[in-house]
Amino acid sequence: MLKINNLHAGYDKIEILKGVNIDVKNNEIIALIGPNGAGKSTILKSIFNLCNIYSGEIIFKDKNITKLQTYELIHEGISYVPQGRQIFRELTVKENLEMGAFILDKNVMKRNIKDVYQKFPFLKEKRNEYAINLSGGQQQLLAIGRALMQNPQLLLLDEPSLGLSPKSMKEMFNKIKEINKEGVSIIIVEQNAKQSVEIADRTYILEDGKIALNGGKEILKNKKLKDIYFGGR
Amino acid sequence: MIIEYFIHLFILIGIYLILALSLQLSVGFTGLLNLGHVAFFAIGAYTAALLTLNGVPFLIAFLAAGIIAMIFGFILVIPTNKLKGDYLALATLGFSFVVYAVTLNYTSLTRGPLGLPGIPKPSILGVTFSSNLSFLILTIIIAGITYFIIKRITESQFGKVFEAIRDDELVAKTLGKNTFKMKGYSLGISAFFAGIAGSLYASYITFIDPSSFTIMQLIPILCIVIIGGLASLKGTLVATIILVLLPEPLRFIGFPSSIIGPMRQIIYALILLLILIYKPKGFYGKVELT
Repeated sequence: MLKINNLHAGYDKIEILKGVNIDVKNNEIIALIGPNGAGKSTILKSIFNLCNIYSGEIIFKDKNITKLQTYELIHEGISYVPQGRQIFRELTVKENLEMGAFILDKNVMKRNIKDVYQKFPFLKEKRNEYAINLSGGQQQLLAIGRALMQNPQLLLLDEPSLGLSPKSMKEMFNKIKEINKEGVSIIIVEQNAKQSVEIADRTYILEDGKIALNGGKEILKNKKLKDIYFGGR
Repeated sequence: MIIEYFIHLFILIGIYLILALSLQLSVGFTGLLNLGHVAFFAIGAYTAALLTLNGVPFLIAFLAAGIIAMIFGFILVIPTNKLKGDYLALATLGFSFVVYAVTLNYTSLTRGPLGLPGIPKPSILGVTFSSNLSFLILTIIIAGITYFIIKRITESQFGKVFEAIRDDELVAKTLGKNTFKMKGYSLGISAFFAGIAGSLYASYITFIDPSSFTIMQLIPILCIVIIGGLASLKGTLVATIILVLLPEPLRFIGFPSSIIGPMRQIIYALILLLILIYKPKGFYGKVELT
């Protein structure tokens, strides 16, 4: 579904990604983990053209999307939930969801709002409350709900568990699995390595802008993992 | 006599209202701290003045003033697209100095500091608005239409995108909006109304010179926007009326006019300080100034 070939990217002159290859198949959950500064978020940003891409290509459903503008990608079927629950705090829950549906016509929008309410019943209950009054976990689910308004085929999540309590984190990971069961491929960038590897079909571990390891759930037992995180060698 | 005076004040309120509402669209709703607003006002005033002085009918000059200002609004977004907050404020401030310098130095067109005298009073379809009362009615109609249009814009889906850009441009982008284009629309529409306010001003005073369009003229308008509350049209209306009328009693206390000018500035500054301390969102504002 998504193929990243030999990607070099970064910010201005600072190269963060030094030749990354990633392959996402239909209906997969892919976890990207690794220590701070390894370039996890930069991979998502480069898919969404929010950083400088020096070389390499990103192919989505046989189409080269490397040069597409940020606002065009959504039409291709990719949605992105940035780090740190970037919801519109001064708007109501319903308005936030409507914001996610700029590109749709009114009827589709109404149907999608219903779908999102079905997935997250609390959003329907609180639809007229200001988003700032939701709890941290609820805000994160709202941000995910807003991304789902666009019917994505691929959902990019950047550290969705950031600042959540263990309980709401668990709930969120369950929701991510549910969304995936409905046919949405997901790339999740996480600090919380253990839980994300457990829900993921495959995991890529990044170290210093390169893929150091990749594999299924058995990856947690790999001896190299400790070295990557703690630098013992 | 006293009636004439009040009519004059209400005409000023009308013109200030158009300026403040349009500034509200870019500053309050889209979050673009635009200090170039007075330049759009100047472009509109000069366009309308030059056209009507050369025999072009008022209505055409009036629309041309808006449209030319709007074009400059669109253009201003190109170099300032990536700037935010203070940096955008400085860049747009620079733009207003450029426009001021052009009006001052392009003497073959604008007559520089001599200004343009004898601008005709507006006349639409044979009706001439030469008395102040008729001009007041014209101003109220145009201010009313401005209020209505900006209200419709801000309540529409289109207007919600402006607010999304203000709250978080990155997210607006990732949700599929070309924020560069949207910022262009915001500044363009805002500049259009500043331009028609300029046209009204020129034909009301019948004389313009560069000193009518300095940064000092921007301060009261920006004060109105902040005191009325960002992203609130009702607040803008209330604040316009209060801020235009408030310094007026000074005239009757018997201060010489050399003191009234600075006193006005002091009063505006005091209100602004008090508002920022005790009511940081202004009268009816939705968001705080950041």
